[in-house]
Amino acid sequence: MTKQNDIELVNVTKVYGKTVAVNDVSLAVTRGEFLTLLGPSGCGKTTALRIIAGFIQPTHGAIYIKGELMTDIPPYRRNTGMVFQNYALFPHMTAFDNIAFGLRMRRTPENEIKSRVQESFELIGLTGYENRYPRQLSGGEQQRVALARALVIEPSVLLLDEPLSNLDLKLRQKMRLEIKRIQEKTKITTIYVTHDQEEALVMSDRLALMNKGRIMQTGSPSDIYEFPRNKFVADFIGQTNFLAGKVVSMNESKVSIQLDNGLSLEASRSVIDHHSTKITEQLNVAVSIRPQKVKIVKGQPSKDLRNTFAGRVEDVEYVGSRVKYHINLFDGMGIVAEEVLFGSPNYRVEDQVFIILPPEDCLLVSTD
Amino acid sequence: MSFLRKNPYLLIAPGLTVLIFFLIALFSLGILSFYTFVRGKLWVPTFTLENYWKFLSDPFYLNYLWVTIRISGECTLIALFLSYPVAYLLARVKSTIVTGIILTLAIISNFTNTVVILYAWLLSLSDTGIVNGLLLSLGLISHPLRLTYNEFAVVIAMVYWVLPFTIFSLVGAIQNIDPSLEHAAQSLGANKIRTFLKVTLPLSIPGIVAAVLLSFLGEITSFVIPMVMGGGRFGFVSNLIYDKIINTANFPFGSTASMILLAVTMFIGYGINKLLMEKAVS
Amino acid sequence: MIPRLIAAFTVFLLALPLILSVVISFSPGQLTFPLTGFSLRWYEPLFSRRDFASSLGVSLVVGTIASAISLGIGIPASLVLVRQRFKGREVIQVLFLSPLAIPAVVVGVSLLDVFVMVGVSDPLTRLLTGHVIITLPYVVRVISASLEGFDRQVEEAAMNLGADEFRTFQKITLPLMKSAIVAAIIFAFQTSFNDISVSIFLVGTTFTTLPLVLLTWTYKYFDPSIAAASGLIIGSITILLIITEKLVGIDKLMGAFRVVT
Repeated sequence: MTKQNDIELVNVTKVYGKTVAVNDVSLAVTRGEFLTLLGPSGCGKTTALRIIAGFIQPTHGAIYIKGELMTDIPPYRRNTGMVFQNYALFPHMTAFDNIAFGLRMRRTPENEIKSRVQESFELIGLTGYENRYPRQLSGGEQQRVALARALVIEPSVLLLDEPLSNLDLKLRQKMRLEIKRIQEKTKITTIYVTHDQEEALVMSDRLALMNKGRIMQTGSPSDIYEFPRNKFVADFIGQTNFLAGKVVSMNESKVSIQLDNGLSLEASRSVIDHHSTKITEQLNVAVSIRPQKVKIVKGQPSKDLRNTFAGRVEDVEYVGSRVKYHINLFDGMGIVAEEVLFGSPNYRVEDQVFIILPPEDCLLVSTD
Repeated sequence: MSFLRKNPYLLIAPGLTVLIFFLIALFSLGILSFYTFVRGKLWVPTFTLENYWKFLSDPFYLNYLWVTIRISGECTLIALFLSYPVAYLLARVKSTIVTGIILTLAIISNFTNTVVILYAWLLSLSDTGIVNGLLLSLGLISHPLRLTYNEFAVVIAMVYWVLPFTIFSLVGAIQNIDPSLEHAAQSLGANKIRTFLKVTLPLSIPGIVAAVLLSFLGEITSFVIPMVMGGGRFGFVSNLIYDKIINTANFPFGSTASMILLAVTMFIGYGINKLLMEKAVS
Repeated sequence: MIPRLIAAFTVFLLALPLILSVVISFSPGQLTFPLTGFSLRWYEPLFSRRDFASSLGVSLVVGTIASAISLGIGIPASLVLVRQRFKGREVIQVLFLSPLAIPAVVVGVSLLDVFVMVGVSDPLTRLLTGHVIITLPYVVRVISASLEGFDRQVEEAAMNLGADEFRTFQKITLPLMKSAIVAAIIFAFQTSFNDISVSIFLVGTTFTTLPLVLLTWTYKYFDPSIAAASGLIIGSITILLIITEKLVGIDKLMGAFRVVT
């Protein structure tokens, strides 16, 4: 554990009876970093967060906060600041007292409390709301008070458990930026839990994608989006096409795949090496390519372009600023291509088209 | 949280002590029911079934049981009949004022001392009381009816006492009946009476069972009401128990009668509960 | 139409004795309705008959102490019963509510039995024990119900901010249980204060409770002084309800009433 890491989870596992909620998770968060635990419901992200906060004892493994072993330390001595999904504001206390609570527990002198809490109200933009009770605040306001309450104690790490899921869309988008702004201003190490991938992509310095208790991939938002390492990640973030097939041969510049329907495909070797799990010959794989990378042309493409296939438009999805074409390659294999729209769609249902899958945009994920 | 986890028994201990004492009390009740009564002494420790035999074979004592059950049954029926309309209106009416008034009345009648309420009833039911006064002035009778210190008085007072419980048992059940079911029935051609009989009433059966259970059990174990309103000419099992224990100091027999009352109560409670469960399953 | 008539009749029936006893307590002499005059003469025996004051004292003292004991026992017990899984939990839950299932007379007789067998003759001890036993189930029921709907996250938030278990209980849990505690106090006290069937087996010759004294009055005197006593009590209850409303809000009290019935 280097001193740069504010949080470290080392082989943390949590078992409930027969269910493994968190499965051998190891993770390090550096100082000032905004890391998001992302995944579907039940993937273990909230459990992991609560283990860090101290509400859950791991079955195996260790937790370090600022280099100190915290596994057996109760939550009230970990100096973490948590924002709960339902805000959990104390209903019988004013907003001021809510925020002051942590400071009072630390026996901070009252005049210092007063000034620090006042600053908090300014930070979250709610000056003047000090004497309001939680029931007198809107959802967004409560959320901000909850955030201030966690921040004012200057914790080692800020933990947020899906804080925006109870807000409506517009408010959520606004609050995302608010939280990010505050985090950048205070430079506090932050772990954020959500199932909303857009939120995760917008806010995070780094993402850790979880599924069934395991971490599937960690990386920056663009890393994860552009180069998903396995099927789950590719499927969870954004949309992707999967074409099932088998690796036929490899050389220094390219990997040849035969798809299940007989068509041949080429993927660029450098991309594969850099971003996939190890690819060997005869490996069963799925070729993953984002709809935005699939090119559609009307006429027969030139012979020196790789991975060109004929197909027929089965469906056109008009999404306002973009259009999605569902195309059937011969033999039933389908592919989705997405284009930015200027005006009306270029192709219609039943149009015969050609698609091009650029080799450098074809990622491979092992399906073995 | 971990404090709770580590020693739950510590926090439960005082409560358990009290309850274990209570269990011991019930146990001693059982023991005494098998002792013999001897005048002059409190009792003689033996094991005999003579008290049980005495109670269960003598029609004089069995009659207490019968009177208790019969009158309680009458009261439950009357209370059900009176409380259903109130419960229905309460369940369907949106006005909080009405609900508030009835709730307040129910609470006050529950909190006011039974003796005081019985006194008020005795006055109301007396020869010069309001009930007779009303009936006389309406010309329904020519001279006052004997309404006090008899079975009628007991029934009225017990129904009064039990009403808040039956009303609220029913309100809960009726509120759970979706009004649109009744509307649906009416739109299909059922008039109000048939809607009630075919839709509302059957669906409110859990509430009725709860109301019956609550009121009947309360009535058969009742003590003060039969004592004061009955004028001493008859009584419930509880009154018999009181008489034996306090007046005759016959603890064994009194304990036996108590055990029998307890058994009847448990049996009926368990029985009706089981009925409820079976109805719920089907 | 008919249901409404029945309903109106029932409501009238409910109100009758309450209104009547208040009215009668001010009657000058004739026990008729409507009143022929207004007089406080029937309040006088409340002061002159010594058994009123002494039994009132007993009822208040026993009610207060028994309620306090029940709270002291019932709150921790409810906490454990609702929040902890441990061996025998379901059985103990039933056990705590069991006095409600036993007929009051049987409770009284069984306690008298054991007291005589064990040799406890002091009426105060007997009464206190009996009253704790009959009030405890109400306390546990009301408090447990409130704890079951309790949002634990607020407690977690407190712990996250630095409050240990005791401080969290003191500063967060307890204040948020306030209305349930008030309801529990009211039900416990009321059950104790009004009890007859259990107390009648546990009182001493001079050490007795108010309801029992009023009971003897219906035999000995049978006059509006009984109504006066009720007038006094109803007046006090009304004031109590008003205070409670200011403290806690009447809807919480109503809700609590429904839980218990």
